[in-house]
Amino acid sequence: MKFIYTKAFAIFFICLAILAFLMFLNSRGALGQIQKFFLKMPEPAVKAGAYATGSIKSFFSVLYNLKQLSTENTELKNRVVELKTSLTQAEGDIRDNEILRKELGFKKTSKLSLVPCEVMSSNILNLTDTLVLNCGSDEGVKEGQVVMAQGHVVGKIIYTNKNTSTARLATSSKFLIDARVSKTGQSAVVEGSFSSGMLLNQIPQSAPLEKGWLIVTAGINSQVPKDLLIGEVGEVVSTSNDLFKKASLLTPVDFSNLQFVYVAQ
Amino acid sequence: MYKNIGYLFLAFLLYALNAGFFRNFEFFGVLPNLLLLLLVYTALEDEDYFFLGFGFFTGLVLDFATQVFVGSFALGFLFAALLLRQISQNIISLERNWKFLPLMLGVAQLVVYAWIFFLNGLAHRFGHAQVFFEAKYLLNRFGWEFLYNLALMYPVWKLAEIPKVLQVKFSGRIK
Repeated sequence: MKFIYTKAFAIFFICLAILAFLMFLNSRGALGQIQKFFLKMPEPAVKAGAYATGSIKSFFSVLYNLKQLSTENTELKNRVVELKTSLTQAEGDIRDNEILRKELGFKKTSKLSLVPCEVMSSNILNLTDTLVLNCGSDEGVKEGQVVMAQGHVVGKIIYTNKNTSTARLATSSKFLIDARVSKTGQSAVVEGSFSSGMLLNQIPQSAPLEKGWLIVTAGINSQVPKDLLIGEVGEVVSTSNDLFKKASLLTPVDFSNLQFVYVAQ
Repeated sequence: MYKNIGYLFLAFLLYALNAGFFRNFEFFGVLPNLLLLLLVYTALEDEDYFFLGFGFFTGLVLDFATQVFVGSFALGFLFAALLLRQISQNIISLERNWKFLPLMLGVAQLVVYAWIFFLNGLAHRFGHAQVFFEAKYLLNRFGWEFLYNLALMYPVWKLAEIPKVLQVKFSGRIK
């Protein structure tokens, strides 16, 4: 019996027809609601699974890292003291800055506008390094805008629908954002590193760079506001023979467990 | 009918496990694809043609969840299911054992990856896809994902037999 006369072919043809219809809807940008439905459906079960593994994972990681915890605790206490000192100096600088601005007649720049979004789907097969958010063009989300969580940059919007949008994670190898070293003002570029972290790149060899320095957005791109925190410098991974200095960036954000984010407008 | 409902429920459960549980157990940058394992089971063990629509539907869910161009996983799963059924019925007609299952899994995964690369790449070329996958990236993932899937094949296989048991219990016969 020829394949085209079989029941299998009929089912196959119906599936192709449904797919053609969905592709047509996708080209019109009308798949958002269907996508939302498919992603919302298993949400309770997904959250239950994530909660269960989160507890197990944190229990074993605490046991594994007991030795490091004590050292980290001491380091953090010293860091808090240093930061308090810096804060006092910074407060004084802010006061001076305000006075100077008033005298020179500068207008204050508009404050950052943050759109809260919920992560509907994140990286189920680790295939795309993207997040699907439940906010889209109706909420004012545009391509190129930065996504933040816990006060740090975690990604960029790469695609928007009316009600949903897709954000590329900062750890993706295709992620790129202009940045600067907060302390020195040195320009740099932050790129993702194969889903495992972020790298600070294109810093001249002659420019100073130390562990713990904060890296912020440079604001060169009009879509990306200035001075958004990206992370802090970890280890310098380049050698003196390389053209530019490279360093790993540390961030407290757990990219595999993002649930709520903000889109900076 | 009970068997088919059981498969749908199992697909829901495996999706939730993949997205919620296994997300925290990443090895060499890959996660398992439990829905692919279920597809291999239904393509090889299911007697009627439910596996075709089931494969298409689960592929569609993965399309929406992973943000590839719609149809990449759906067509990949559909063609993989058809191919596996043809291979098992016409080429390997012997009694199925655990030796040929890794081969079937490898074939299914290869077909799915080929469709993702082809369809998503074509859509990206015309500006309709959100992300683009280079062949090198997919090839690098293939081996590790295959091994991870293989490690979980036995438990998923045992879970997938439950709907058949339910069918026998409720209707008294296997269909």
